[in-house]
Amino acid sequence: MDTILETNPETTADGPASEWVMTSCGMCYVGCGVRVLVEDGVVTKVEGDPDNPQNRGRMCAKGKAAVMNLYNPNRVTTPLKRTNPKKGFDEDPGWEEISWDEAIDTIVANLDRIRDKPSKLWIQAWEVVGDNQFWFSSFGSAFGTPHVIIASSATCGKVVHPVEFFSGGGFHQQADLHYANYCMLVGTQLGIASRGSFTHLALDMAEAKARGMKLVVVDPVGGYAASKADEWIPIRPGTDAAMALSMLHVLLNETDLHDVEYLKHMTNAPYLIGEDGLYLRDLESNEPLVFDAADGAVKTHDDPSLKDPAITGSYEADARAGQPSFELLRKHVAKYTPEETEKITTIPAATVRRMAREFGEAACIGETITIDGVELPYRPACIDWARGSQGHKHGFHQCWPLKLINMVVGAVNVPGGIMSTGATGENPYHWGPDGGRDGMLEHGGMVIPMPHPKAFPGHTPSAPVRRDIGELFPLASHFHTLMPITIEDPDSFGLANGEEIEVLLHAPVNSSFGSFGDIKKVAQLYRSLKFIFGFAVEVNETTLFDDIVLPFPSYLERFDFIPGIGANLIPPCGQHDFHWHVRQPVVAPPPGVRHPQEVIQEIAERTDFLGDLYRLVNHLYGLKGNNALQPGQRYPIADIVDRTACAWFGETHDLNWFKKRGGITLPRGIKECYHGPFLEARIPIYLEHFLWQGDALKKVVDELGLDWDMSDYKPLSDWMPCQSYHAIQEGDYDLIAVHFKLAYVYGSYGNENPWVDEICEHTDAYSILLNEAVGIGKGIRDGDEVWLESPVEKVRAKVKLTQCVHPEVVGIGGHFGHVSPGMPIARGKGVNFNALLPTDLDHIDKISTALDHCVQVKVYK
Amino acid sequence: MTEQAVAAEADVLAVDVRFMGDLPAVVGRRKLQVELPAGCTVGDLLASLSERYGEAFSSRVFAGPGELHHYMLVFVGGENIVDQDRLATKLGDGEVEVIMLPMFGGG
Repeated sequence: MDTILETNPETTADGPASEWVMTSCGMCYVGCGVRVLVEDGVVTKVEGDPDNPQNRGRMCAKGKAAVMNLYNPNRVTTPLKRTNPKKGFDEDPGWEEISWDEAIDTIVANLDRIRDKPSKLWIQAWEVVGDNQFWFSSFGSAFGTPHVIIASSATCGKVVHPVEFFSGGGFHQQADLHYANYCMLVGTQLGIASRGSFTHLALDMAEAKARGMKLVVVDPVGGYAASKADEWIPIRPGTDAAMALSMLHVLLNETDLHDVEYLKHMTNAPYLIGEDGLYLRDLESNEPLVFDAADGAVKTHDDPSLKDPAITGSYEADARAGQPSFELLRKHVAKYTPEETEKITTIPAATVRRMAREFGEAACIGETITIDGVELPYRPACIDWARGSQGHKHGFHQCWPLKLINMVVGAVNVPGGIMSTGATGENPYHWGPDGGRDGMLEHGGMVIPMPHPKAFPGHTPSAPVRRDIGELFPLASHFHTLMPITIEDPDSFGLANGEEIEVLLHAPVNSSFGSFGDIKKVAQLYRSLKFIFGFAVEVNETTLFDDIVLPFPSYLERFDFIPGIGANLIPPCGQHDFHWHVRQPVVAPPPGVRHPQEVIQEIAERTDFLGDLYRLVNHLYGLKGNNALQPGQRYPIADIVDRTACAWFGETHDLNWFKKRGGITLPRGIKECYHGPFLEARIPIYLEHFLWQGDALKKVVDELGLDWDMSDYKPLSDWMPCQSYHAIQEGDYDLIAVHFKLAYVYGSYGNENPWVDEICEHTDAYSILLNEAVGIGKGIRDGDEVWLESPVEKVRAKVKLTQCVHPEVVGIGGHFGHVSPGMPIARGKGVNFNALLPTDLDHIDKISTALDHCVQVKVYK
Repeated sequence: MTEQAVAAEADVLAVDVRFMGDLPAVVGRRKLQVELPAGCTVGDLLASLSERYGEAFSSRVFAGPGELHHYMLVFVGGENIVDQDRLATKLGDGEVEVIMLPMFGGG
């Protein structure tokens, strides 16, 4: 039975000329429920909808400032074409306003030119605020190109999504702030300044703190999260794995603070590992073997008689020696004593030892809790990590040991532990994670019927066809970061001549600044393309390379059935209802602005693949029967959202129903909220498939003649240094620059907003952070202008001296440093962090493709 | 045409195949006509294509023997084979669409 949210539009006492309209915020991907006051056709106020479960009436500063984006005098409101063929960040495109007909004629002509070579099209679809990313990506796949990006950052999500799908079952991870008593944030600001469901989690975090949860923040920068923490642990960038492995050593070797029963029955800890590092398998069934201590017999992991699988010791199976993977893990981490890792991380040994013990004791191993009549394991301690830990040359192995800490205490998808977001549900239909080969978790759960790349078992490596050489990253989800690298020498990767990408369609996000590193290489990449057409809210740096610019509506002018990912992929975890709301226009778009989906339909129809586009859209939105889009017809976006609402929630819940009520909420059972104990699959503490995927990859790269670093293809993590670590040790540089997020410019569309700009000015957000003692030692005073120099970029920056940054670190917040004349407010302020990053294979994580985000720098006057 | 030739022709099915997603880049074209013995299934068609285009095709389509990757969609005559007999779905006059779906976070 659904509950109608009290979100009816209301008319004010001023009469019909003044109206509150329910919709979904689109200032970032969270998609909070908002109500918008329209007076005489003008938006005058945006408020949080108190009845919307996503944000419960709360909003961030960026969301409140939306009205200034809507009425930005520099918005693109008509199609443009460039008249200057020279492209660059400092080139004036010579924009000329053109009609929609001319714009689409030009686009269709360029698509027709490559119709028989569809892989020459590249789609940057990331517009995660609404539906367009699904339309853009469907457009690319229907056209027939493999070059479809539905990702944005050069780091974000690159490790956590694959890790979560094979070790938790959902899209992202999130601390269970309802029950956790000890929460450690590593390189992230969950519930304080960033992440999905941010506005919801901010309150959950505050309530958790109020009831006594201990918050420990491990981060080179003592930022917003640290300011709320009980303890801030400054760490040298790129050394998270060393700290995590040391904590594992304490939990597994110095104490008995690990959940033996969980490890035995819910992980591959008992799987016997042979001398070659692979599972010992049954000679007949090929299933992995375990040793059952109950009867002293070796049997398969799925043997119904299995009672007490051993996780320590050494055994034999058919004259083959083997040890449980847990035994190998325990021995492996023994070398990471806190005393050893102190030299790497700068975190004192006593601190790591104390943190590990506190964590293990807080996990309440063996205890249970009964919620709604269901008894569940109670593990109120968790470690959460995100972008900061992922953005390294060995990003996967920086993160995986952090996840393992949760796993060895059994704190995975149980009350108080680390949760997988959006992993399972029964509404509007059943979805959830499931087991696969070797009894392991293989199939993640996601409500949107769009698949996600799997990191278990991964895909088979092969000679590249993709220009991002995704085939050489069998365990990765994202590959686009490779583009500026492969463009330099495609032959060396075996990429065929004559198959170069020629045409790019991009969403209105600023990929040139946000999706890659070294800005000179990015410019080279964009210049190599013969024709670029993109949607734009404003002329940002990516738009500067466009040949045709198409205006993009503000979120206050749009329909979106999927208004962000806060309700679906990264919803609040734990005991929260399922909810869904849609976005509806609050005001009409300017006369020259069309709905992008309607533009895409027209282009696809004129390029003769509208039916194929619909085939994919119908699948991705679950449109069947009368709701399915039919070839030969074009549909207004309102009609499509109406069909989708009916397809998902029944004919009685059409678009009008949502327009009146804002959203729908549906209760979730306790097994949906905490699916960990009910998962019919094991999760890995030992990554056996990394070995055989590595072997398969080695054959491919050898055949291609590539010198490929295979050191990451190991089943147990080691700490491996980034380039910046070596640079500091060798004295070439004395500082490492890292990036951090600011809540008020995080997610999208905030930099050219005057209210957000005012906040940035007042909070010194445009300044770089330098440790006070270090700055004084260099003769630098607070507020000084300095040179900030990395191996690939040298820029001017204003310094803020602070004690809240590691002494070896320069902290750079936000995404600034704009140069586009189309962004006069943001132009010339702050630093574009990504531009500082060397971009080559030596700075790419060979597992996840994350670009190394800790870069050696010098700071001087 | 001899009776034998007519019979032989009736025993052969000309299947129109259309590719979407990554596959046109592997196959080198978006559309293809494949001749198969009458009575063949989708599994037979994909096996034939795997033989023709090798590991680059089969590794993208199959997760294991007889198991399509989770991102694969196949339609026969406009109907999803998931709603029919999956890989055992019989081929007929209708076009076959072999689709590698875009993936969230892909690229």
